[in-house]
Amino acid sequence: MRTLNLCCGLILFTLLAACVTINIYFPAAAAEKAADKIIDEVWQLRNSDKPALPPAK
Amino acid sequence: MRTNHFVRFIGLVVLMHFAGSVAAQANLEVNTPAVAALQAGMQKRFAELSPLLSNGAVGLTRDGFVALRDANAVPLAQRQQVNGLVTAENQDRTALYREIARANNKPEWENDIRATFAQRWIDKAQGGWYFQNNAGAWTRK
Amino acid sequence: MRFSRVAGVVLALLFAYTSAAQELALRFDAIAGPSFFAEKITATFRVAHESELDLRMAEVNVVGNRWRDVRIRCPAITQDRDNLICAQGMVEAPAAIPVSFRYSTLTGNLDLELKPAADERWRLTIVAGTSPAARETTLVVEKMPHTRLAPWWPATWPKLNAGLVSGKILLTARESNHVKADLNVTNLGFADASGLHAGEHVAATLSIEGQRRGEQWQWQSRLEWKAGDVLWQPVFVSGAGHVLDATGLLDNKQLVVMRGNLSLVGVGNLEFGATLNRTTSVLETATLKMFDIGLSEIYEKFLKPVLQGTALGDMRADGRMDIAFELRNGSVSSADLAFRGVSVEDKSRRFAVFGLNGRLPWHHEQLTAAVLKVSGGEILRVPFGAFDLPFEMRGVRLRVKNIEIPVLDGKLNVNDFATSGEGPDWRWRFSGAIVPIAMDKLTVALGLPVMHGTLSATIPAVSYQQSTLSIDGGLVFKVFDGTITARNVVLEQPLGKVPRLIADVDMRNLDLDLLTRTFAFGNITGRVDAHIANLELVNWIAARFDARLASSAGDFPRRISQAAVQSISSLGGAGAAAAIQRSFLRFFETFGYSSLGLSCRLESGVCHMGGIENVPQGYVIVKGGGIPAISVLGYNRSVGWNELIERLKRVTGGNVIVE
Repeated sequence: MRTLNLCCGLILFTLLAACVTINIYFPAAAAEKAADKIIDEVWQLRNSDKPALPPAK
Repeated sequence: MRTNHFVRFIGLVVLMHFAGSVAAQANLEVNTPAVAALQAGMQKRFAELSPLLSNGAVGLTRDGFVALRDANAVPLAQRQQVNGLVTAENQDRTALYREIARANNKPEWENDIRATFAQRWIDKAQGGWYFQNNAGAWTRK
Repeated sequence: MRFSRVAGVVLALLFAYTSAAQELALRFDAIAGPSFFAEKITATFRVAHESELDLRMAEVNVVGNRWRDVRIRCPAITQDRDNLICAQGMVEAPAAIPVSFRYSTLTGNLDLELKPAADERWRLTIVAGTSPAARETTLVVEKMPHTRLAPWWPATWPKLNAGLVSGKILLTARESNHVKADLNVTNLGFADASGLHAGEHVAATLSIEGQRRGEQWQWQSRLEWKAGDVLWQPVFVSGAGHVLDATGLLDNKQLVVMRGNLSLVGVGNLEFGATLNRTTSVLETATLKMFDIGLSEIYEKFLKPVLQGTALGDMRADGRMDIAFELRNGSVSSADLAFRGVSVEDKSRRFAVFGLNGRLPWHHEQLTAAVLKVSGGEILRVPFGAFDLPFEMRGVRLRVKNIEIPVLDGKLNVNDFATSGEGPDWRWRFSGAIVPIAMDKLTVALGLPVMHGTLSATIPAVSYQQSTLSIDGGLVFKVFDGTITARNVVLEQPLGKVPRLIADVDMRNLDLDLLTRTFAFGNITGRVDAHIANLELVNWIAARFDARLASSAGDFPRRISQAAVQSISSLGGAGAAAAIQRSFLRFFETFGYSSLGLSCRLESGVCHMGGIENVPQGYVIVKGGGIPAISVLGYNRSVGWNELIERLKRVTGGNVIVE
């Protein structure tokens, strides 16, 4: 019984630790946003009707 | 003496209102002159790269770069230039990923930034362009 | 030949029968000749209204090519004395090819013509002569399409996709086997799978002559490339009358070029020799020599494509050179270069060298030494003058003892320059000194506002490794009657896309009077010290620093003019400048101050500011003192750097209106 509890506890702990390690420090969403902005400029994807959007301040 | 104090008192305290913006650090910093210069160079080069991407001569690699995929799609007399174009574009891309990392004071982020761009370049590619899938094989969008 | 005698008898018999339909069949097990072997031959003569020959051969072998079940039919075979003439024959198997031939049973001479296609003609002429040794065989080909070469074409070579070959091959066997071939190729096209080794519309002529002595062939050849384009990654060349002449030897073990000359139109002559080991495919020895070639042409055509992407890949090159190389076992073992009036200039103006003269001998193992002379040049926009460069080389190592490079009106002394390491680990270092250079000339060269003073330095070590230049010691600028010292200077990728300069800068006792007058800022008297930690210039523009400026200690006049106050105020925006105009202070020319100070930490485009001390409203930039006094306070702690620079430009550009 105790062994079972210990095992469950260990598994839970490992899972939690695994969850924690998945949380990467690198801001992926912000990076994606920044990349999109740059790619849109380089490949001129936002061009539609306006020649160029004024830089946001 | 009194004039002095008076003048001092009157001595205007000129308040300097610096109406500058304080950048919020929620986003990834990309507004540096270096990034802007690299971006401008890449935008200019895109005019020449675009037809090569459309006819399959050049494709997007899975690690964030471009590569000469099919030299036969380009007339013989121009194949040498295409190679030069690909080399120059990849140099700019390498510098871009490094500069963004450094702009955020995190040089160790360079690989992650490159991986992010790799995915976004492919996602935003036009139909008919070629890109490398996860296995490294050329696929048409 | 036995065959001819037999054939002669048969013919005689044959044509003795005129009207009766007769059939005469001859069988031969095998007939062999030079490069020719035929097996199980059946010749059937049918004599009806006309004589017909039906020739079948189970197997024919010509120069290593094998055909099975060959059948040749001659519907009207005629005889003219000793000649057997087939005017309108047809090879029926393995392919339908019109054939005509004339064979002399007396002499054994054969004249045979095949017409595989409308324009294509193959003509084989054998003059038997008095003995096998005297036989002369000539093959003339007209407009053979490239497809016929396919069986012979080496698998590793790029595949042919177009072209016509015409030519004449003559084989004789007088004293020794003798071959003479003249071929003319038009519209040749080839490409490998990648398309990076390909040619289009190539027109060329090839003449080869060879004599066999024992196991060895002596050969002479001439290849003339008249037209067409060839891409051999990364080099692209168009044919324009380039000629390759070579003579040499060939046997089972080796191919030797004893004398070779490649004449490249528009570039020059290349003399070469080589020994190629045929079993290992290794170039055992090779020599290349080019005399008096124009660097401009050879750079544009051959060096630039190879150097693409490097710092040397986008230059203008000029001058003349002699180039000699020696290769052993496939790699360069020694080289000798001579420069005459050579100049190179980077198109992005990162560097330039003018008037390079001298010799550069190099050996992969042995020590070589020489002196090069340079007339002048430019590096990162700083010009330098003429100097001698004595050097020593051994393999990848280069050593220069002591040189003095004139820079503007001073000198850069370079001592003990040495390279070490290989590949990515390659690095160099030297120690040196800068003998004072006038700042006014330097600032003009760099495109900065003119400053007066000198730059000097004692440099214990400058090193370069992995695209990064590091300077130990400090660069000392004596400007504005004070001293600016730059320490821990590191320059990353100096010739690259995004050069990055990092340094710590210390400024002592700068005269504000001189400083403000240089920058048209109004007039402030006094002295300042400043310290800039971790200054980072990216693409020569400030990207990061932590700067602190404060009045120097000491006794000196401290006054600030109205114009200067206007300037400082303008940095705060138009509204602030107006404030001083409205007050009665505008009657005063100058004001006094007791001390001034400013700090700015630039990070991510924002300047985090501070002053001498903090007050409830903000921070003190100028602390009043004397008569009349003025104080300037800062309000916002965070300022957009670009905005600040814009305002500074406007102020120093004289846009401030002083009434």
